[in-house]
Amino acid sequence: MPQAWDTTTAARLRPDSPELEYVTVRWQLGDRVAFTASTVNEISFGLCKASAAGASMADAQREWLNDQIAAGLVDVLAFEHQAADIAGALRARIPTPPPATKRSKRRSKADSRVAWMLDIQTAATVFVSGYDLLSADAHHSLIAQELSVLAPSAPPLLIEAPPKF
Amino acid sequence: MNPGDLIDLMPTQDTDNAPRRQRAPRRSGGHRAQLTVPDAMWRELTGIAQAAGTTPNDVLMRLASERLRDHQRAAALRKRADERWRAFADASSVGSPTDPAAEPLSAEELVKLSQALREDG
Repeated sequence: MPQAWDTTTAARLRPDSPELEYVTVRWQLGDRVAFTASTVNEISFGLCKASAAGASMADAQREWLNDQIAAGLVDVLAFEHQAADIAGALRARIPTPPPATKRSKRRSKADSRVAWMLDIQTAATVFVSGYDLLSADAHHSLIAQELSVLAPSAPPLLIEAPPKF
Repeated sequence: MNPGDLIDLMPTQDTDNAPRRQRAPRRSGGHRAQLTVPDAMWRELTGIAQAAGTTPNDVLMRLASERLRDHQRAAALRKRADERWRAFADASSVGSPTDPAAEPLSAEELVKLSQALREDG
């Protein structure tokens, strides 16, 4: 089944990267990689913040990514009614992220909450769009388990590890 | 379609100097069909075929085959998306309220509950 990439993999997409080569091959095979709208939100935020802090190429990289999406290289999955409903149910079941990982220990409580909301939105979007999720984030396995409780007869959300680029 | 995608279609054993009619790869089995192709489409197919060294019929077959594959993929994806949503909706459904005296939540309660999304955790 088609793959949707979570942010830690999607954010690596840049010109002349192995990720770009991989995405292009899949596109040529008619099997487009997708990002969720929440993932695009995160990438866009990061690049705008970097631009404001003086990173001279950040705006050009953001424009490049938008051009790839507009050209159809990557599909973007909308966070729409069904995904929003499922995300609400997920958050009610697991209001907080699991115990802090090494990376997230540096985050404030508010930042962790935002990250958790985005993880949930991404998983719900990917699930209800019929995709598998490519993610190295251990949180997503937990979310996938909860989705199996919320929708026991559904084809499960498969979490695949990103390929070694 | 990139004309380069079609280049590997044609056999290369044609070494005669005399001009020969271009032939599509032979496809055995299947259904023979006669089609009327709109002129504009035929011109486009002919252009791609010339660039790729094959015939317009072959280009037409290739394009139809690609489009069909895309259609099958999209249908499989839609089916799985629908199955997942249906499973969630069915598992969430409670049917009619069992307690006839139960009161619906008030507007204030609904607002407070919705805003808890911003606070939990």
